Amino acid sequence: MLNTLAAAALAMSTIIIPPGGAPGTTPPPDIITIDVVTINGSGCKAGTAAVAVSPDNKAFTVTYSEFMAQVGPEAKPTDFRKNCQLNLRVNVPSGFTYGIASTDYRGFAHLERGATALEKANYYFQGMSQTEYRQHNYAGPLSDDWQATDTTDVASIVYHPCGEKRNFNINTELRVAAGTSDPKKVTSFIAMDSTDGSIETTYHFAWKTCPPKP
Amino acid sequence: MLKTVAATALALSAVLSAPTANAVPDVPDFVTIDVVTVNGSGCPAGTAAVAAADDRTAFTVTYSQYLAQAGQGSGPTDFRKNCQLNIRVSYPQGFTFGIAQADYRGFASLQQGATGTEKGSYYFQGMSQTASRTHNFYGPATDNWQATDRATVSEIIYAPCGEVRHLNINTELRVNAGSSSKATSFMTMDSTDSSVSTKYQFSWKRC
Repeated sequence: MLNTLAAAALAMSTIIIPPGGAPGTTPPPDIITIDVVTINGSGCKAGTAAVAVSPDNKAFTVTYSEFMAQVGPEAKPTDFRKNCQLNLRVNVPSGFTYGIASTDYRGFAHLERGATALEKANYYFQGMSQTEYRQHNYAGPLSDDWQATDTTDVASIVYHPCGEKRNFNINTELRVAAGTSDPKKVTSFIAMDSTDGSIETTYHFAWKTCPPKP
Repeated sequence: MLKTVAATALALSAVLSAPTANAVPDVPDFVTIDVVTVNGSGCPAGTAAVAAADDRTAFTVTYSQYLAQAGQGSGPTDFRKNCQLNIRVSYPQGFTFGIAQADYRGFASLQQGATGTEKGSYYFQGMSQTASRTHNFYGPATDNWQATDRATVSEIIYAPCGEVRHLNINTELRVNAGSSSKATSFMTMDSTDSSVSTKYQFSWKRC
């Protein structure tokens, strides 16, 4: 099985420390939880995605029935790219915390010699232009399951200006390029079976708190 | 009948988990399983039915169009279909050991030179680690097939202490026409059955 593990933390270039924020002295009391608010995209139209949330709201699984990008004699010219966007509500306990979020993508790829495919995820907060992405590439010849993992510090991804709430967006996409293979003769495709997200709340030696409201 | 039994334990190199603080108060005194979602290219909405045993220790999922095919008349992406089950596992207080089993049944029509594969991938929500078992079938064959995967619950049911994670079983069927590309080969899955039996071990780990 192809197993690509990109454990590098998302390098959100600005980890914003709220003005007046100072390291606390006692651990925050609660845990970070997530809710899946919407799922939609060309690869996951209504009725084709299913969501299962863990009882503690710290992990979820989305499964897809037709999230597939393809090139080939029977593919339409626009089939080489499909996306599915998850909108997540991240509930951060008051006082904030620190933790690790990770997302696992699993699927299948059939790539002819010369063809390539990619799985890419854009991560951003509602209403904020800043976007981070992680990409995993695959090259033919290949016909097997694939898996990719993105991991990040919650301290860097879970930012909302103090007092404001912003949902978190994960836009996943699959793309296939015929490359040197002949799309008039052979088909290459990549499919996503599932996306799993989770947040582990860990207690860091120092954390940030919002300043008291004036 | 083609029959392959892989009784080897799933190799989720997991730490045995103790009863969690999140255990549902009304769980019975044995391990129970509930199907939360069923979805995939082989089981789009409306094509799978779930029947659970009254005691919630077993269930059957049946499929109406879970079929992979290759060769004449097949689309280029038809050779692989999947269906993923998301399962909530509940354990009683003080518990920890048992046997989980999954039985896959279907039909295969494989031409000479064609091969069919049933693969089950097992992982916990939010964990990258995946265990899988593969069963291969070879043409010529026109008959029902059955495959069984078995694991001890202590290996399969892993959740970090105090956390609850659903179990995912992603099944897939693949057909390779091989040297038989003129004729059609196909493989279907008719049903997936899973059950869990509870055993009490002399010792167990706690968080």
